[in-house]
Amino acid sequence: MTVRRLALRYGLRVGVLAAALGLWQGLSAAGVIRADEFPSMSQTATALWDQARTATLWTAIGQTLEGWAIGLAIGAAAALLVGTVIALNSFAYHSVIGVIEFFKAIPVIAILPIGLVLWGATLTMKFALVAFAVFWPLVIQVCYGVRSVDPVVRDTASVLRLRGPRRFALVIMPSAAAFIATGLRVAVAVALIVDIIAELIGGGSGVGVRILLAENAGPSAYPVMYAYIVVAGLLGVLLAGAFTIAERYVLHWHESQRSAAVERNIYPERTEVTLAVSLSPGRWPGADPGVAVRRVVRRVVGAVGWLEVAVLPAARVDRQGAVDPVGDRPGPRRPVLQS
Amino acid sequence: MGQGLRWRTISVAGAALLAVTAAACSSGSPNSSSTSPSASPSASPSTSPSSATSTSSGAAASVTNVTLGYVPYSDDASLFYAQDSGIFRAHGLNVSFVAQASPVAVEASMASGTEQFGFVTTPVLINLNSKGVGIKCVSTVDGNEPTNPADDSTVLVAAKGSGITSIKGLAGKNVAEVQLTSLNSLSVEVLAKQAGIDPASVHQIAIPFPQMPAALAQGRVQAAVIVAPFAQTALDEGATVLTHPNQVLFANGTLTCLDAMSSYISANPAIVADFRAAMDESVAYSATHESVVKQTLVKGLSLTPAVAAKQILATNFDTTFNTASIEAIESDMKAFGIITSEPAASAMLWNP
Repeated sequence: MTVRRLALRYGLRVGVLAAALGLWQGLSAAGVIRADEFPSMSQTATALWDQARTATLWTAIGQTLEGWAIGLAIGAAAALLVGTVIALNSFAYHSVIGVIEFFKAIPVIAILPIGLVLWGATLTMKFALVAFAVFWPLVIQVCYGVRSVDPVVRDTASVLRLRGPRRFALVIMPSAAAFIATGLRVAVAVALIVDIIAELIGGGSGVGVRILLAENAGPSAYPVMYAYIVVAGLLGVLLAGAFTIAERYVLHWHESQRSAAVERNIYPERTEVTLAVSLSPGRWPGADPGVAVRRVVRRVVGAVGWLEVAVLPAARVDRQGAVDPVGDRPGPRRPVLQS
Repeated sequence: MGQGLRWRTISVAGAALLAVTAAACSSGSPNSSSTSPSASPSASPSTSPSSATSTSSGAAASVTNVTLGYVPYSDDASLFYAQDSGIFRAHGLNVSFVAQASPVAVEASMASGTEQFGFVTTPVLINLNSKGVGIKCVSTVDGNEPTNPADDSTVLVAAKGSGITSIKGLAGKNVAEVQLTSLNSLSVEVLAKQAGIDPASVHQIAIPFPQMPAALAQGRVQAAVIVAPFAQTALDEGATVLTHPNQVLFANGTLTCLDAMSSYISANPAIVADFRAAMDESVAYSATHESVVKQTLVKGLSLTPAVAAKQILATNFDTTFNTASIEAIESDMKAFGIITSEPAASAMLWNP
């Protein structure tokens, strides 16, 4: 990407942000926004700076992220498991999908009182609600993803007798990954919203409770209240951004990411990128300042990949004397139909 | 299977494992440090009891951990003081504070067993008891409703230019209230009935206190039941005081209290007695040292010392439950169809 294009893209973003903040300040200064109802940008920024110098803000962020992370992990793991199981069986899928769609439509705020009665204003209540909110939309994405496996790939895997964890890891997950990633990207934001709402309405601790405290403290604390609302927004942007970057690394082999990479012009020499190439050091020197970081990430991913090969049982294709459709594999061969 | 595909699939499996590991790490470490149940500003128990208040009779050998759900507002000053000055601790209680948005959320948390004491308003107390949920007031928050209008922080105001000069003028007008079916909306209905207009002709609209001054100024509502410190903004802009509903209808009334589940009270009468003694001690101190006690709001509500000093504590510091006021609210609630059965007021109050 040329410097000019970079400057244009990021310059525009910064420009729009600055214009929005300037508009906010201008409307406050002109008296269009009532000062006792909505503080000016500079007051809010000052309050944010004051909070950032105390442990209160950082503790609150930590408490909010705690509920977010645990809830997201539980919800996502459960959705992955349940979604895969449902999707692999057509009968189960068609039986259950209606119920899932029903639960997906239930707003979490409606079950918040149940959460409060069961767990009180605790961390458990927060992450349980987050997990509930994340689970339903994600389980549908997982179902779609798993059911979208290319029939040729699926049949090939069957022929190669790939089963259990290896089939899950090597056939189903790669096909479903893009669907799951989309679902997760939405889930990351939903989880944060639900987390903060649970704090705001249910109580306990975290950014939501700081907003509540500032709101109840009266007009003098409005800048603090809006400072925490800004913090909630920034958290959302940062988490979504972090997820997009993580997705770029984890799914760098996927069609969507490869075309995006070409658009970003990260790999100037080639449009087709495989991990075998990306793992080898010394390619694209100086192509991008983040290249060293990416290299480290890929090496870790590669190492874990090797570990997976070593730990998971190898496909027992050859030992069991299965069909070798290509005919280029070592080991004993037998005809398809043995009399 | 080509070499490229193989590499890619391996990388995916590896990445999945990596992601799970990362998730486990990220969720594991903060979880282990989350055992302290509270992070409210007044939660950190101070162990420096003020000399003026360390008159505790029960210098308890063992400390009982209890959790209290509260709704943050100015009248919590005595409650914050009991915590900050070490009165609770002197009575053998280690109280963790949990800030919550409404009494309903507090009561739900008490039902879950995670909170033993909580803030409740009398209408919620009555409503839950009439539905068979056994909860009882165990102490006042900072005393009963003041008898002097100047001490009351709740006012019914009319917007500038609305032409409303009395309760009668509310017929057909929009009145802002923080919550429908609350004490404030009940008061407006009772006042309307007393003034000889149909309570149903008053359009009650739920608007949060912070937005009420603007709603009044912009003419979206013609009147509002508003509390300090928001009321001052409205008055500065020309709104006029029609009446102090709580003071007029329920002078010296018990409109809020700190409560506990009946089952908890019967199982732990000694703890509840300690809690009551601590609160009564703190409120008694507040009656003579109001300016000192208000400074707990600096930490409790994150106010500046100047703003904290200006807060109104809407109380007469009388810690004796007013049974008659609860019965009066109860009969009003029945009259307006909010409850169908009237539990005995004495059954909703606990006294040592």
